Amino acid sequence: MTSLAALFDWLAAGSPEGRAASRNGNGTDFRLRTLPKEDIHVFVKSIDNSTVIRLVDNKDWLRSAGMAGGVMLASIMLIALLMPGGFSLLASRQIGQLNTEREQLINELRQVRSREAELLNPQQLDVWAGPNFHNPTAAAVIYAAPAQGTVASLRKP
Amino acid sequence: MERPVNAQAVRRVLIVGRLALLWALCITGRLVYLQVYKHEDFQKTAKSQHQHQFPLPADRGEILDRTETPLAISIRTESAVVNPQRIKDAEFFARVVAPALGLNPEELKATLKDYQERGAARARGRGYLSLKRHLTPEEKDRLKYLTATFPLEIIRDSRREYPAGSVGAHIVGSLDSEGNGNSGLEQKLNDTLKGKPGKMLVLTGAQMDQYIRWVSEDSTQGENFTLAMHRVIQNDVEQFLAEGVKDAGAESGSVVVLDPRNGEVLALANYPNFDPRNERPTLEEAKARRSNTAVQIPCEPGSVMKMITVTMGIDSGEFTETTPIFCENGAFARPGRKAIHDVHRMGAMDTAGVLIKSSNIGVAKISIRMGPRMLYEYLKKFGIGDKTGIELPAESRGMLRHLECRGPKDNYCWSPTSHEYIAFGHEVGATSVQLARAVAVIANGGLIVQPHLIMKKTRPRADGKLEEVALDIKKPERVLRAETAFRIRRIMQQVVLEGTGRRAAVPGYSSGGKTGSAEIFENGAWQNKHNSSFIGFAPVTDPRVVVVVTLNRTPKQGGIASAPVFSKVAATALRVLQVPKDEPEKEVAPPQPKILEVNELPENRIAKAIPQPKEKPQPQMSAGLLIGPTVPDFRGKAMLDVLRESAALGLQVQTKGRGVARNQAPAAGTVLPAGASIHVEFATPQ
Repeated sequence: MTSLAALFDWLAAGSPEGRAASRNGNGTDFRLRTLPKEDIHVFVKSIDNSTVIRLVDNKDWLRSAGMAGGVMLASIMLIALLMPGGFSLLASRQIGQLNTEREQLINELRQVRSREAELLNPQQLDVWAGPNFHNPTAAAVIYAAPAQGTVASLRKP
Repeated sequence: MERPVNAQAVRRVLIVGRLALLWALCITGRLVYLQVYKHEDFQKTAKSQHQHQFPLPADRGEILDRTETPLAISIRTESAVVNPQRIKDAEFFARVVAPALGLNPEELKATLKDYQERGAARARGRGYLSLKRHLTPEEKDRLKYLTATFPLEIIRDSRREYPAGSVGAHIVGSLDSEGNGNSGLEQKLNDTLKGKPGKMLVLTGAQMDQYIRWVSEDSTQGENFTLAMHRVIQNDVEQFLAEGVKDAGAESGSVVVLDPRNGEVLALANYPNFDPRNERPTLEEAKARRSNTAVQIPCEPGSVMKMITVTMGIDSGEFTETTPIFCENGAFARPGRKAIHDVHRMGAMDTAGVLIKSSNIGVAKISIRMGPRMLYEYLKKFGIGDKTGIELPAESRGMLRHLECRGPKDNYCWSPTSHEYIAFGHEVGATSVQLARAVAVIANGGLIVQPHLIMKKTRPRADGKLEEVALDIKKPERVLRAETAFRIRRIMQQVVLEGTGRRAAVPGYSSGGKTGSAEIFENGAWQNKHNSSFIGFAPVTDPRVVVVVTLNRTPKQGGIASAPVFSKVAATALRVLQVPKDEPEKEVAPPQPKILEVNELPENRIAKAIPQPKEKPQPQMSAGLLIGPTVPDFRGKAMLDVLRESAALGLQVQTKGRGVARNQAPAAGTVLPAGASIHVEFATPQ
């Protein structure tokens, strides 16, 4: 038999403050006094179940298996239900990324084409060629013999 | 014992309860009204406050030359913008943001304050200021950190690039600051080039801070256009034109190079030119952008019109190349009408000779014989007075008045003598493109073609591939017998070989053409300035190019000023197109000018001015003074006579004093150098 106050005191005695209070002799400062009619009766009864025999229930096993199977099936069905959406979400994200990448590449291609055209601009070529680039005189041109069956030829008569 | 409840208290409780019920009903009613009846209105209001829609600019279509090289291409960029109304401390903002964008902090601060003051009155918290367009990657990186602190936004933008620079500027055109075309194809095809803009939705908070955005409708790129223009030919044409204008002392000029077989325009150049890359053009550049002379400004074609008159004579069967025509020895006087004059006194000559020697009287006689109606029909057959349909803005239809007057007050119609003058290119106006189309009729064997710049049109499909779009180009239509066209080709070849167009000879190729000079009559006087032109084609056997050269307000005539430009242009075009040469090539030395040639006068002057003096002093020529007209003897003549005579000869005269001419410099009989003037002193007879 014990009381609530005794229980608290017992618990407090295990704490550092309680232990210090016990050592210093003023451990009664925070201890609760036992209140009247508040006794707690604790009984310990030993039970002997060594003679108890557990009966095997086949239906119980079936119920468990059924439950587990049902849960698994529901999970699979849920996953199967959500999977296309998930895949499409993933695919749309990938498509979005690819689109962005494609647009970036197209833009880069345009920049490269623009730069190429700028470099091949006849005005620019003239500037780079300078005096080294000019049409040859007529006498400096060598005319190739016409091929067999050629209708028009560049050969100088 | 419990106290009995007072009846009055019960009543009070009931009243309070009823009031509470009423209040609850009111609240419920109001809620129903707001959330059920007014649901859509409030939803709309909430959307307008929190959901904003921005246009997503579409990529502008590309313009390519015939080798698929880009002439105009759009590059996606990003620009930094800000709402000035949301900036609390403009100075702090300018000091931090301006260095990141390479801007001047003081200027940025002033601009922001200006926007804030202007915007406070009108914008109601909204506003838009473009801080910098087309950010570089470094600038964008620097701004990335500042966007968290300042109400900066980086928006999608695009930059139009013209990699060929000023080459083909009058064809390609340019854009204004808002991205709309303001000249050339960029203007004419603006709607199809700019594509369809998309839509971007943005959700914003109470402070207009964006927290989510998505593309609700993607933009569609504009259509791409592949031109028939070849940038190498175009570049050379522009250079030759600029040289030609400079050499001839002209103010402007234009060249059109056309493939006569299908009407594809291989080059179209105007002088002065402009650079479409220049976003802030000068006044001269802005003027050059607006004026596409070859398409928009018609002028009197002069002698080049004789090609149509002679063609009419031969095609109708009334004349053959050998039909003799008496050219009245230089003056064709008719009772009650002004006399028509030729430069040189010519007697009887065949019809071919009339074109080769460019006789005004000869073609006038052909026109008189055939009648005005027939001439009008042939002008129409050659497309004079009708738009060509070329894909450039503000095309002129030229000037061809009605054959018959539509009423007593109708002045825009032919007079009884109009057909005589129109026969050699007066009282009629045509653009260079119209003339090119007319020459193409002769060059391709009698078919009229539609000059066009666009060779191919493509549209981007959803899968990213290009889909070709059909073009609406008129099919060639026969307007002339092929036989006539071949005959006229041979006659026009003779113009180059022995007529007024000798300078138009193309080394290695046979060529044909016709010169033309129309003097400008302005402010009541002849200005000694001409619209000099040369129209021609090469090679004669199978013409691959038609070239029209027009130089405006030059003191020189077509055979001297424009023919050399034709020669260079045709040679380049045939070389680039890899057309086999059809004649033995030899070093072509520039032909020595003859006095006869340099004294060639514009046809309108000959037709309308006084006859030349009967006796000409013998010129004392030296090798170095060959170029220029011979100075007449003005001594003893009245000022009016001197001015008339000098105007008839296309000479510039500076007068001093009044009365009768006493002295002149240079002396009579000398050859006046190009651009020089004659000083004549007058004195009152004692």
